[in-house]
Amino acid sequence: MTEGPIARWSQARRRQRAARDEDFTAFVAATAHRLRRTAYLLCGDWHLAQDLTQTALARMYASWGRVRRSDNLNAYSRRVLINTIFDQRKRRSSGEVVVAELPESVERAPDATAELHVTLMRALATLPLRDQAIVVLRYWEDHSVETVAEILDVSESVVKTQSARALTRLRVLLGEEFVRT
Amino acid sequence: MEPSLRVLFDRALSDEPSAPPGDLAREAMAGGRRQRRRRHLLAGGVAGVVTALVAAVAVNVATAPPSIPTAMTLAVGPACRQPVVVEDELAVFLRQDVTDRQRANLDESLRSDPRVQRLRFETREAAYEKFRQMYRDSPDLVAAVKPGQLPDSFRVTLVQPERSLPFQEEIQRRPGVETVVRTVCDGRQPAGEGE
Repeated sequence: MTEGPIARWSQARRRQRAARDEDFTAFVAATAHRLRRTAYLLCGDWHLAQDLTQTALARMYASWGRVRRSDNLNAYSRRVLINTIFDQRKRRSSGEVVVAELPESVERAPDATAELHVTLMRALATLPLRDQAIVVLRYWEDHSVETVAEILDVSESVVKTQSARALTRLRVLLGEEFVRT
Repeated sequence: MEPSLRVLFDRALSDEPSAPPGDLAREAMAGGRRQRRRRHLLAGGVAGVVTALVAAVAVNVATAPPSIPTAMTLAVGPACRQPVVVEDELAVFLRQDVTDRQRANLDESLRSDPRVQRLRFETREAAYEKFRQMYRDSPDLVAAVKPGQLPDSFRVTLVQPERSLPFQEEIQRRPGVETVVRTVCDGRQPAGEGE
């Protein structure tokens, strides 16, 4: 006699959890590779990029009940990822040994095609992390100024001025013809 | 060809390795659960844990009487991974059809039992309130349970909590008792799948 409602409750609970997990799994399948690429562009290490992606996804899952209903899950996931990267960078600078810091040779000739991607990564890495994030979100992920501002929790004018400044810098490092965005 | 920044990005990503083996979603979920547990412990502190355990136990116990191992495991599992000091209490859940006489008898014998240090009664209303608080983020779950559907319980603190087992078994056999559950995490509970 008491079983009915309580059994229903526990069933509802199980169902809710299953639906939540299913949803999350689909989300991971759809987003993980893009997140990993974005992470890579910001950290320059595929292995670390994988770890950062997993950490960011775990953080999202920890609040998934609330997060899954958010209007812009895509932007939100970037925000979590970027924060994870910021955190990791902070930890690293306050103790851990710097592993893959910028090599001095940014001036390497950009004509060797094989070296191009290294060169871009090196040039990017000379920027402050937030500017790197702005460039990647804006020109790789194609987010609007508004969305980038939201992801990074800064004003739109900061996004505009910083992306202009960052592009100028990349142009200097990479050669004029490479930045015509 | 004058590659734009976008093309440079594509090239930068050209050495992308294939994703490492393993189920990323599953691993992320495991990590997320650990974080949630940690957060619960930090936010709720010890009192929060006790409340959560007790409420969860109350609910789960009612789900599967009279065999409770799975319910217990579920309820206690998460917190058991963390060393927490909580009040060692026995929850004596009463059957839904317990009679006033049975309840009064139980109350009397618990009161006069020298092994009992402290005794309080938790009404089903109080249990419901706790449950509602605990699951306030899941309105549909709360909606599925109505006040009065959670059991009444006596809450017993023993003088020698470490010797609770014989006491538990004894009370368990009393008329009107659904089950007796120790609410403390004593480290012997297997870890459950958790939330």
